Amino acid sequence: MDTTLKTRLTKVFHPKVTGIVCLFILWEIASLITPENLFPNPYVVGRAVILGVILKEGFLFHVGMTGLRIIIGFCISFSMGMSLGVLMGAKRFWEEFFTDYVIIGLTIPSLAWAVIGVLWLGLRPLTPVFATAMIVFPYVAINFWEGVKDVDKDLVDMGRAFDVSKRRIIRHIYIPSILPFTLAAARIGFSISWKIVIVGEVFGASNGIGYMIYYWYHMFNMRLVLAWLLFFTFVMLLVEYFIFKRLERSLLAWRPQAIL
Amino acid sequence: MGYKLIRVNGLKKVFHQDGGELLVLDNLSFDVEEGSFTTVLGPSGCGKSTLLNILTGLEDLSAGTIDISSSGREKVKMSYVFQTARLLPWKSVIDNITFVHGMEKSKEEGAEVAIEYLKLVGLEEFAHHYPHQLSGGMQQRVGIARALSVEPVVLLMDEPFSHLDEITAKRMRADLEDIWQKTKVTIFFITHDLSEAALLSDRIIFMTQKPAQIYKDFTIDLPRPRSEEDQRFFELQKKLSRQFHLMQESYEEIEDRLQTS
Repeated sequence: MDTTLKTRLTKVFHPKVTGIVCLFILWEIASLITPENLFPNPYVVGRAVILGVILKEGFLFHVGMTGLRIIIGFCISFSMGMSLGVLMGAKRFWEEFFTDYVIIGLTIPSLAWAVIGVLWLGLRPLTPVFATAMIVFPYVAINFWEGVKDVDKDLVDMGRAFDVSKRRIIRHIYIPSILPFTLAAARIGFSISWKIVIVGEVFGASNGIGYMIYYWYHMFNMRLVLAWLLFFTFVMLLVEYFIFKRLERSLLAWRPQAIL
Repeated sequence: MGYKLIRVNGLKKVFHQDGGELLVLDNLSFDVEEGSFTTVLGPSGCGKSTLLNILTGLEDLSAGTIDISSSGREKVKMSYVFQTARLLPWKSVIDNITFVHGMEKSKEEGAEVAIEYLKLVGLEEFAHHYPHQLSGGMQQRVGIARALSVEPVVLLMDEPFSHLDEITAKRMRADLEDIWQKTKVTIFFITHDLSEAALLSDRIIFMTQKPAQIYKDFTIDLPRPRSEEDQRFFELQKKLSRQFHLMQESYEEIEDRLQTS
């Protein structure tokens, strides 16, 4: 295929738009060949998003509870992971001390934490937060650990050779080098957080999006299970595009354009 | 004879690793005259960079003394040009320079000084570019401007042109000589490149392989700017190169003797 035709085709078939359109086409096909109650078609689900999710009483309450849990769980796991990761990156002793803890933390199934959380804390509004914090924080720690180790020692030596103060070295060398890792940690941390919160709400809550999905699962209502899921995915995409992408662009503006 | 700005006496450096000891610098004594261009020439891996790290205080010495002070006995300001430019990739050229200025200069003063030295290295129009937008040679020029902008008395240079292509390196050597003559800064230069040393130096200190000792000390009084086509320069290079081989041979002889015994 010659290049001009190629560029013209990619203009007509924008990769992102085409990707989403394909998803809906496949969905429609799947719904045609399976029973209605197992796989409702996109139109039915779309209607349910509006009528059965957004316009339903208690919608804001459920979404708000889930959002609150995600934010609290994320903040706890992020600050714990950041402290541990920086400590491990900076000090050899603590690196060896904690390496196995982090690996164990990564291998414990999320379900186990969800169950343990309910057994320890009971069915309280913030029980899912416990599981989230425990599961997410090793992932955050690993990113900061790598980030601190990745700091270019030559640049730090340069600063020291020029008698630049320790504070300025931390502020202008360490922090900017760790920034991309911070962003990666935040992204991973956030995306795991919301998944875990949903699972946690199934087990240990009486409200929130996870609870609603579980509720409609008990009613054998695939339409509303999918509707809640679709709505939630949409919200998370907005977070990715309007928060993380923007943060990335403004924080890492110095990078060569090709990388962004 | 000018004032002796740097006086090194009986300098020794031992690295401790895996329970063993590695002698890197063995009893070095030399001094550096104010305003001179003094070069330490030695084979790769002989501990030249260790010597610089000790001079800047990044590493401790094991024995001996170093005295770096002006005739008024006050502490002398030093600065450093590295093998690679070591610029902060997230800062513009001008911010890279002001980064090393510390507290004694205000922001505006710092920027003014930065521009002044960028002009000296011919890069003032790139002040607001990021390092990745510059070529390797231009980045190294920024490194030189940064080092000069703290207005040092001594400029320590660690093989600053070894990572550049020969054409760029050649131009940079000529520019460095100009800058040196304009600023009157004392340059302490480290290289493994014999003709580079011959082209630029007032004085060359030959260092042997590890453990490094001073093999010979040459004063070079050819007029500047020196040219590679000049007959006298050619003779000088030949002489230096003969010395270099003699040094290598005697080193290998010692090695052989050590191995047979």
